[in-house]
Amino acid sequence: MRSESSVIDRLEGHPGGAARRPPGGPASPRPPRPGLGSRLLGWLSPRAGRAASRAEAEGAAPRGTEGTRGMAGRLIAEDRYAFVLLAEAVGRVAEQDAAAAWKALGSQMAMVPAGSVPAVLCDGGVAELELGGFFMDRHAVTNRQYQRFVQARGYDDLEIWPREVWPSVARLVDRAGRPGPRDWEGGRFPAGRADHPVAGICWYEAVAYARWVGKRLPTAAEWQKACGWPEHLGGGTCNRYPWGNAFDPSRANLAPSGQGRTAPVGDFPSGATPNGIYQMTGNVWEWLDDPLEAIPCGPGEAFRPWKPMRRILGGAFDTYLPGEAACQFVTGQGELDRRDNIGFRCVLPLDQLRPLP
Amino acid sequence: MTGRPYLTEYNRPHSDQGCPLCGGHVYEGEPCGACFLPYKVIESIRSRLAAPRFVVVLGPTGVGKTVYLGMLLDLLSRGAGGLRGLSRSPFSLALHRNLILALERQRFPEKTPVETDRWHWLHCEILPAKGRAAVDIVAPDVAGEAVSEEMESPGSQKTIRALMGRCAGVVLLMDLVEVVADGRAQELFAMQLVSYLDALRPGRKKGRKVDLPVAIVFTKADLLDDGIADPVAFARGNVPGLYGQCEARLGRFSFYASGVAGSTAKLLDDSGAERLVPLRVEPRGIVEPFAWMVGQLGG
Repeated sequence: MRSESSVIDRLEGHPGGAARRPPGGPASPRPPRPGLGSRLLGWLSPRAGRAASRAEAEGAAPRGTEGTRGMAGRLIAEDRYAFVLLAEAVGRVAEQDAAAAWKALGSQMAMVPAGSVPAVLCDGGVAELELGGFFMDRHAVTNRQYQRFVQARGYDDLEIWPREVWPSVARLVDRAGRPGPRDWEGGRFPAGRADHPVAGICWYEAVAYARWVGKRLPTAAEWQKACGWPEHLGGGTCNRYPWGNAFDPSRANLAPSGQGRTAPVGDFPSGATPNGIYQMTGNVWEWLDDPLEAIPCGPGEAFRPWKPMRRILGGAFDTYLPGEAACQFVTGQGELDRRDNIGFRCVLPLDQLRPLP
Repeated sequence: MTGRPYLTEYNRPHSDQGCPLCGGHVYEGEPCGACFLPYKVIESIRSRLAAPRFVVVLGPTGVGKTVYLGMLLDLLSRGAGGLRGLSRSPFSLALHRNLILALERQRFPEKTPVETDRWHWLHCEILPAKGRAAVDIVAPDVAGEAVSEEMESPGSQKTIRALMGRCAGVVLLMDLVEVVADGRAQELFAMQLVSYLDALRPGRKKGRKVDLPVAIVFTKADLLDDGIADPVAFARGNVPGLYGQCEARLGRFSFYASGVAGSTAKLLDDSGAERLVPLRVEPRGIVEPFAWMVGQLGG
């Protein structure tokens, strides 16, 4: 079994000190996510002895052999640059590596500044929420990116999977019975679809991948702010779509666009947000962190899902009513369902990173 | 089935022709006295040069007949599966409109009332792909209870009987979740319908099968996480009695799986009653059975 904390522990200059926050950074609206938290254990806890013994037991090179530079380069190459940029790692990452990681982050993620958002809640109510700043993936996670996770035996690394799903991880297999998305074959994505969004993954697989790259899934409020901000018309709850409030089939892959299947994540540039986040409307629904615990109900009605559900947003290639692709729409899917029209993207809160360059 | 009117009816204005469904006696502005075909449908059919094909969508209560028909109309109005449907009368749009307005509120439409005069009907001109002639389709959104009543006591539901005797194609809906989870009720109901069809439209010669296209559609496929990749294999494995009966009695049949909602949940109301609600709309497998049937209609 691969254990990422032991890998991180092998970096040079492991201080085992307390967490350091970037000076003047916005306060996190909520405690660090379990995924990122567990990732940070290797940095935060003085567990050098344990790490060393685990490394030896795995037959790995002695501590420091790979070196911070090599490790940072590998993390960046695997799109796991978030680990290089953690506030806790400031003293141990060379400036050159940090610069390379910022470059990778800048090309793959866009910043959404701190501020308030009139967030639409599950029950249809609206709450003004104060959000910290965050980076959001410009594109949904692709098959190519997800294959790195599969090949790195991410499905065997139980540390990054929520404990409640452990009994089910062995059932998350592809057509050939190997760990991976439902429509893959033998650990590989369908030919010609490297740059299409990964789909056929349940919420837990999205969470595990996000933890593996040192990020997390967005909340509905974050999604709404990233997608519908800045609001042009004012007075409402953000724009419905990244480009405004009127649906335009040429800007997003929904059923009215007539494509009928997923498109590469870089398609539909005219539907991107002003800061360059693609396909927040259309192509695939995307898993959010929020549970679906209610839907808009009439008097005397109560929501009764028969399985735990999570919210999804954005609409997909087969979304029939364009209004359902708006960033205020409330819908969800069972946490363990693996649909061919649901993928995901990740976010990275600013307050967990070193100061911006 | 034309009958002599009663004495009290002699002074009422007669319609020129008989009922287009059963041939029965029709008074101006009134439904057919024999099969209760609404006058608006009769009028709409008479406004056309070519005779329409009657199609009937059948299944037990709650199987999704209204949702299937309404979604089909909406898809056809946009053009789907090589077909385009043009509504011939405003009444056709009522069913369509009711469904879409309900789905937009994340609800399924109310149950179709059992009374024949409250059913929605559709009259659509179907324009197939190039090289084929347009065809008019007339279909009612029947109540499941009425179908059950007619199965139990044939002749009690005259509209159903007239439709089954005259229709050019049947779409038979089965609730997939009930097939998987709740025993054989759906299968036995479908077998009853096939048997009824056979009794009503026997082959001319002994051993000859009913020559009517019958599309059997498993509805609510979205509720099954794995979906159905091969509806025929599913039918063989899960409704073997029905499959065998279709093979023995029907000349043309085909199995499909369909779904309208991308995801569903339940709502509980004050009285403790549960109702299924759609969390979003992702129609799949709706046009395919209909397109197959239209392809089977021939000239």
